[in-house]
Amino acid sequence: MVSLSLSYEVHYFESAGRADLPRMMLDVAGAPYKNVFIDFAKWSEVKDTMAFGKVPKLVVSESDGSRKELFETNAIVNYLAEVLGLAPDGGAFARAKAASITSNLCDLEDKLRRTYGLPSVEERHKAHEKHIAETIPTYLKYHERLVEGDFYFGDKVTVADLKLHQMYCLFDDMYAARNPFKTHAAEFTNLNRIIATLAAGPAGEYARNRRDFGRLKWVAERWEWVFDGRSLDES
Amino acid sequence: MTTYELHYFNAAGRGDMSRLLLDFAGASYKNVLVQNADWGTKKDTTPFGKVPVLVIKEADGSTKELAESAAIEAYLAEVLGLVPGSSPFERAEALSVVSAFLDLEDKLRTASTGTTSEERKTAHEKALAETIPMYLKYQERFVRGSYYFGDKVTYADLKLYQIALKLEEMYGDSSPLKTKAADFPKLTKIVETLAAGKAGDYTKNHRIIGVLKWFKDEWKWGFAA
Repeated sequence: MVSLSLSYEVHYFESAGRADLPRMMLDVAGAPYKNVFIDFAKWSEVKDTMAFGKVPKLVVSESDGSRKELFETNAIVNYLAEVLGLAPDGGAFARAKAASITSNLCDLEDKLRRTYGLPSVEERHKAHEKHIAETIPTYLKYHERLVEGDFYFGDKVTVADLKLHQMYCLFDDMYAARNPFKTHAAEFTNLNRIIATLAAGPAGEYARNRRDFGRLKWVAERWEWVFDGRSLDES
Repeated sequence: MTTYELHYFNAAGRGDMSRLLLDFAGASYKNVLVQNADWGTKKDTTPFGKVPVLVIKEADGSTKELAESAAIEAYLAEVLGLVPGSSPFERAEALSVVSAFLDLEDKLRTASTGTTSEERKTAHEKALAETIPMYLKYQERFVRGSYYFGDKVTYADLKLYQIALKLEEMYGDSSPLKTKAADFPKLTKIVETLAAGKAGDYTKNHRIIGVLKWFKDEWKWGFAA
């Protein structure tokens, strides 16, 4: 049961990026939260206020007014999984199994991120074609066989399912109809069932209405992300 | 008593930290070294086609396995008492320190992806001059006592120690923890204290370096002949 004496802030840029999954988790769990958007132009002023010089930052506010801060996406996601009831039942080991799933999907996401900063359209195009044809399906093949029911962990939606959904949305952004979940639908029936169920519920509603702020866009013909019309320098 | 098997290659790599945690905590564990020649057949028996994999054998005879080094390390830290406290927030704070170091390790891996040794050298020299000191600056600021979280060793401290070993292996006396030691007094003290104790014992007696070595003139890791 989500504690309503707690409220959360997600501090990040006005884009999905590394805040997408934390926002999705808070949204799906019905936890009171707000986005605090960081103006990218002012980043150098706020960077040093972050424990490790990076965002996202999660602020947890208690009803007595006290606040605590948590950094690093991985730590934020694992923390929210536990406190929002989005971890599988079974204590430390069960939480670790969920963490292994999210960690492996983050590994895949990191491979994609390394492509973003490649300097030419040709290089980015070639790298993304390899992701679509090989890398993503290879990772997803292992996940397909891990699913133990309607969701990764049986009947209960957990952070593992939401991470999968976040990745699905990312692939939709970049690859549209060539999203490997779709082109390999026959091979990934368990994974697509999870996606379809989530899309029909609160996670889908979050993704359609609160995930995209209109500033970060994928430019398909250039195989790159642009923020307010300018190419990103991956840092 | 719970016993553990850590399945990984004959190398430090992504197995080192888990071995350090098990050894430091005095857990009953053994290394199952995967030879390169056997990896083809073993790969698909693992949850994600990767190692390390931790096999946990409970006293009642049941076994379970866990993959992904980040998940293995956080799990071992929790069950072996190497976290600041039992609450989710405390465990998450320790994970945030470790996660920032994992990010640094990724940057160092990227520095070795250039196709020529010149490119790799340039990337690593930038890491030495800028990236590593920047990451360490934030870490130094975070430390809240004799150790990261006060008086008690946690896996945040052990991660720092493992990073120090890696930087030493890669850069020798050029490791920023040495060249800029005056900038990082708290981190330096943690590393020295751990080196003088059980973590140092692990390094001297149980740490596996195996076949993966840093080739300093090539600025990358490779398999020793």
